[in-house]
Amino acid sequence: MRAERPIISHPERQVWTQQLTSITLTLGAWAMWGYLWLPALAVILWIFGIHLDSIYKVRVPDQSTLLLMILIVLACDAIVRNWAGYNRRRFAGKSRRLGSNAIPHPDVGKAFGVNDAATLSLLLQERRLSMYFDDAGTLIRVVAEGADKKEDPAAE
Amino acid sequence: MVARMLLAFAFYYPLTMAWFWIFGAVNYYLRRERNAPLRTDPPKLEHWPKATLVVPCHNEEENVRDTLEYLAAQDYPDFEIIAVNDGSRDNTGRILDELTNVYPQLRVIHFPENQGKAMGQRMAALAANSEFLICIDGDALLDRYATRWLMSHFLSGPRVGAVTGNPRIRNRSSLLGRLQVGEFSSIIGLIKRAQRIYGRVFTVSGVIVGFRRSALHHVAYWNTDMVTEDIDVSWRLQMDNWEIRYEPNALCWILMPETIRGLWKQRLRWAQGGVEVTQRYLNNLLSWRTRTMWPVLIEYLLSVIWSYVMLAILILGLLGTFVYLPPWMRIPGPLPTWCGAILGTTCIFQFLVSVIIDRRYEDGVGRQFFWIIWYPVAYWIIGMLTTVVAVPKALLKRRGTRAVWESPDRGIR
Repeated sequence: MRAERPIISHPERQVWTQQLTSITLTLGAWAMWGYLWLPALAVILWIFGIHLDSIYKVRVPDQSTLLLMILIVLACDAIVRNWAGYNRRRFAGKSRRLGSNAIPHPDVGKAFGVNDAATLSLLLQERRLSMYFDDAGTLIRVVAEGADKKEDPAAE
Repeated sequence: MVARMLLAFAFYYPLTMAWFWIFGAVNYYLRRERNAPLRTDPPKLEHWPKATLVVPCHNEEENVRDTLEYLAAQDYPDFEIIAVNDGSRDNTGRILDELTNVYPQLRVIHFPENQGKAMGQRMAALAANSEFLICIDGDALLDRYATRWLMSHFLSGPRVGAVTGNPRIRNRSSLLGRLQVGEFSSIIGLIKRAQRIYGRVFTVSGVIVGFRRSALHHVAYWNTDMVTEDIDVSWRLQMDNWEIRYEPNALCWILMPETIRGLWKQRLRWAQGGVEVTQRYLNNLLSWRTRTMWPVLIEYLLSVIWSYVMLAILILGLLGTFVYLPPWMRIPGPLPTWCGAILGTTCIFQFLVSVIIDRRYEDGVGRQFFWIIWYPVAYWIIGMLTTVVAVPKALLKRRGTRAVWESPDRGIR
């Protein structure tokens, strides 16, 4: 099943000039894309005896360039396929490194400069908190919000 | 000669990358998606460890009710929600406080001043009652089954440090909105799949990503001085040999800019983020120990070089129309060659592959076909311009400058 899509699409909220510009620019971009095919068109027309030499010189594909492009595509495929296979054989289903146990909360607190048990308890239990920082971004005070405010006992 | 070399690189680099992404994505699809359960039938987990859903919010009064409604409806038995009101100047804080009466799982942290998304996530990690943090943005809507899909990876792999989800664009009213639909589907989705094949990802999507807190602890959590904290933490986790996975079933509906100014600011920030992490970690990345990151690094460095090569071609092309240039510097005129036709065909083929893969997750992407012609512009041209500007901007930035919120453009509502 595909996602329920909370999409917002209101093209009508753009003024008509914006809508017209979007469509015109996109048609222009497709025209540019079609223009890239001029060499192919020139060759097809040339086959039917229509020569565009006056406006466009038919460019015969450079064989070495085309060959290089084909090689690039094949090489990409080979590299991806072999690398994925190698990794699968080497790593699939095997854990080469140990995981890490969950870090105890006092150690988490230490990483942020919070060392006292009362503040740590406040952080884990209160549903509404305010935190204050100094200019360097260090946490300096934690206050529990609500009916009866509790303040971090280690507050400055 | 110089001009020919520049043109050859300008042509062959995007061609090669496009085919890498196509084959990588197809390989990923055939192995992991084609016969996998549907999105609405996520894996049955052996146990259900508590998860913490983290939502940093800055000036989100228009969105935060919807965001929390979607979060509260997650198909997962044990979770808490931590919303961080990061110095909002609107009613976000009051709304969040009210919503604590509606959603018993909701906890709210207020910052009196704007501290930035990274700080919001750091404090949520500190206050979390669980080992697993699912982080989304304050204007994003998390699909009902996303948490289960993300959690299944953490339970199946002890070295899985993060799992990135599948962002889907909501706002599609304007040309810019529609071209980003194609871009996210054709480029970003394919790249994520391809990068999973070669083992390392350039970045998680900060708008929908799950983290194992112990993995974050080992790399000292998010840095507050990087403009893109998601790229930064992705690189540090992977350099510490944590695995990052991609879960396309973990959908998250997001809002994207629909103005040129908004899009430019967003993409410039992304480009600057790439330069910042490269600058900071390049020495570490060159060591043999972090060799698994080399494909990502090489791909990124080539993209930066390509941007400057394109700039050089544009400058030489313009100069050549006005002043005499020696033959070795001359760029040919605008008559197309077969290379253009092949590149154009590759673009369309890439989009078709992405539509076929994406059908599993969202129908109707093919309806964007008319507009999809713009996605090479969105990805390659905007990417080129933003990279050219971002490199000096990042190099000249003073280290340690805190990254704080700027309310983004969120499109036509």
